Amino acid sequence: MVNSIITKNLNVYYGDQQAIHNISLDFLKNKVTALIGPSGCGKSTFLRCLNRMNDVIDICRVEGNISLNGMDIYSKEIEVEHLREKIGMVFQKPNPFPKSIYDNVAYGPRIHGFTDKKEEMDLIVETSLKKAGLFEEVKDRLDDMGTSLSGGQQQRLCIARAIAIKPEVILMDEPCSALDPIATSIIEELITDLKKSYTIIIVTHSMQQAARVSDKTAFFHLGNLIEEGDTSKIFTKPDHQKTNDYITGRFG
Amino acid sequence: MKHADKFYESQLNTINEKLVKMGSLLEKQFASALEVLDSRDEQLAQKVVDNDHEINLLNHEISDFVFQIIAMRQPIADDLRFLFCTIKIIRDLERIGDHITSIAKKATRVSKNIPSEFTEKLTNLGKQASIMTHDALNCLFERRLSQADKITKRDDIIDELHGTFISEVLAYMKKHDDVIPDSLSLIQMSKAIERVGDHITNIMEEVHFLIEGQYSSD
Repeated sequence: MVNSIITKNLNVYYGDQQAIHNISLDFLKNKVTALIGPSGCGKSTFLRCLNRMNDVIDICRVEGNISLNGMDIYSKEIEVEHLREKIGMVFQKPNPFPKSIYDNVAYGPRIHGFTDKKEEMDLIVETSLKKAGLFEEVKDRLDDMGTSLSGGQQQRLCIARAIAIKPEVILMDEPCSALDPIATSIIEELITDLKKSYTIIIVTHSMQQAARVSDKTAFFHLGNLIEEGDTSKIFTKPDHQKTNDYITGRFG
Repeated sequence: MKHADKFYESQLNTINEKLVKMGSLLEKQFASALEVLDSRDEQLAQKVVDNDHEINLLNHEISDFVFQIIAMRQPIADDLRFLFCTIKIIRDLERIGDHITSIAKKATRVSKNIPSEFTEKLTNLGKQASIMTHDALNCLFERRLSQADKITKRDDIIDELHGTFISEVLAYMKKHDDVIPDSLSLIQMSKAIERVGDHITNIMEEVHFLIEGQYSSD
């Protein structure tokens, strides 16, 4: 078992307000880890620290250490653009660019200068769409707007866009919350498939989804990491009473 | 802590209440069956037979209800363990009910010619099983394992008493061939009580799983 991301003594503050309290949590390579917890528990803040999404929030201060394959991601030598090439992100609401399906996927590889050649870019787009399980549905209309797709297809397009720049880690912030059950199950199947190539960290409010897709689960409460472990254990016999209360809906 | 969803909380409480009802009915049935053994009261025996229907109904009601909750609520953690154990426990309780009915029916057929020491021994054996049932159900309802060892030991006592009882009845049968049908009834009743002990042992395994999240290694 190899760790992909290691976080050590992470503390996050929004001004005077502390949002994350001294969390140390490791993420295994090629595994899906679910972050669960009630609203405001810090799970999304934590997720956003992993690819420095919080950098844009002026009052946000991050202390502690996060490393990706041994590389300190908050080191001054690290360029955020380079980091986000390694750690992609998929958001709650599908947010395709107002561009064609093709250009949505090609955008990242283009700005990162992966290739100038049309054939090579075609291949990247096709491979990424295939990995996201979308290619067969859109192969005849790659020039159509990404926004013309259904919600579930748009989310898979966003996943294809994330994959196109060959990340090592994909962060997902409630990726299915805007989708119907069928589109959700397609994405969940995709997540299981994608973990063969990527490390996936998913924030979800759906306990069933966390149970279905993740190998590891971490439970956050009031900015603290209460418990983390194998998903099968967390959902059958968690060690901590707070975890049990939350996942069974006993939280007041 | 209670569930935030009051309806879900009340559904789980209903299951628990029905389990308590099933357990308390069984205890009453057990007491009646042992009374039949002493009195050979056919009316009381018939009442035991009739009441068993209620236990069977509760078994189906609880089973259907658990099935519905699993489908509608997708329970997890201790809720799931509780429902999972309930499904298994009610089968054992229902079978215990059948054994008690069988004891009540057979008890009426034992002639008064049989020495009372046999029926007394059988009553004692039945009382051991009845206490065991009571203790196991308390462990279930109070979610504690403090009496688990005591219950297991009582099962060992029942097994031992059953073995001795069978030998004694067989010895008696050899000498008194006119009481073979009665003796057979005694043996069958003893066996039924011994089986109750086995079902209680099963229930205790489920209670252990419910509380600890894994089955006992013993």
